[in-house]
Amino acid sequence: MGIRHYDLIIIGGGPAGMAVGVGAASAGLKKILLLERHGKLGGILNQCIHVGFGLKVFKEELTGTEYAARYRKIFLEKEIQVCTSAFVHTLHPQKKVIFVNPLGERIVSAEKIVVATGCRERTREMLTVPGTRPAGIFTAGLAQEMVNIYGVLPGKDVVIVGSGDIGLIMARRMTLEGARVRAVFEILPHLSGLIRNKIQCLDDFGIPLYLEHEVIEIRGKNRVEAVRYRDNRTGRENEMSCDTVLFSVGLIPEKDLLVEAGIEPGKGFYLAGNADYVHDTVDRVTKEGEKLGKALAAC
Amino acid sequence: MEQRPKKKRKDKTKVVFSGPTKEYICLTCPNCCSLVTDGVQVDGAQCEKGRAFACQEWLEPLRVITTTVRVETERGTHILPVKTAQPVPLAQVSTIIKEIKSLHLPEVPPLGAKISVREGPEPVEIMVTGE
Repeated sequence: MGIRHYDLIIIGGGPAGMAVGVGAASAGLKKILLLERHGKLGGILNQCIHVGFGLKVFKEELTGTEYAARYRKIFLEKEIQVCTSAFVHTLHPQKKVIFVNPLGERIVSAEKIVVATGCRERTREMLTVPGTRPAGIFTAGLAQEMVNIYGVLPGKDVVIVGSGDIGLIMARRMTLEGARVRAVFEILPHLSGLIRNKIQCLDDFGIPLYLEHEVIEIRGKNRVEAVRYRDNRTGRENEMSCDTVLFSVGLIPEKDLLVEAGIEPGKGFYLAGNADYVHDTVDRVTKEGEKLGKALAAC
Repeated sequence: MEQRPKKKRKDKTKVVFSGPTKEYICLTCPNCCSLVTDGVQVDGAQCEKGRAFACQEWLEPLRVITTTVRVETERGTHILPVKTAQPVPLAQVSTIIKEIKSLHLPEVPPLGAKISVREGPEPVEIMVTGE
């Protein structure tokens, strides 16, 4: 079987990948293929059931899932070939893309390739928090997926490390699902996420935020039993019992496909959305993605 | 170079309050304006929505709650994302969550479908937000 050749291949079917497709197809580009590893387009928006999306693009406040559904509709009206459950494992500098799907491995090629693989969460290991390695330690986004997609509560007695937006959103979410969120610890003297999220996710539910506090140890044999923390202003240390620790300590653009192939962006390879840099809003991801798509159709 | 549009200037006319005031952060959009209000007049809002938010917050804080409903069908369990169709009183959030969670739906309703959670003088309705 010969290698199928496209004008444009987009890797990732989140808001960025879909926007690039919409932009390119609207500008007249014909042979476009989008590869998405999940069964459904929308990316991380599919697990964002909270409101606060789309004020710029759709001129109203939507949930992440509503935003995804609306944009999916716009996207699916375009002439774009979509391959879901397709996981790209290798990029080739000669503009080949190798992916696996339930039918096996396939190779496709394109004039232009856009990497729209989003970002990854920084983990406990990256912070090197000392202690044991019990069950009950999650990134906030993973906890969000467990609760919102699979309906599974990761724990009942929760401590959150870092005051990023996903952590704040999950403090509220876990509380509404019946867990007790004991505290959010932030090492910096200020909040990392938006102030509106502190108010509507912590203050509304009486969840305390401790600034300039550092979690210095996680304790527990099989399951998390407690964290030790230090007030960095006074040096005083204390312990707080819990069965779950969520980390919300930053996002890192996912460019591994390019990095592993030794490819620099430009020269036929492009980054879109959070794979390029972490954006404040999905609205911006959409607008920039559409702009990139249009530009790719023109050159 | 791309020319950035000039930022709209804040309403600089300072409101003079005579009675007691409260301070809020506007939750309407990511601008997060700092608002001061006496329940009637509002200072610090960049838009009409902000002024309305401050007055409402003074009277009775309202929030849109989002959660999921577990739908058991013959084809398996579906986790359905929902939101309250209208903002609801913050003080009632835990009660309303319980009412939403106790819903039994025979089938997975379509995106945008509205479902009544509570009848009576203070009705609560949810809207399906996912497919």
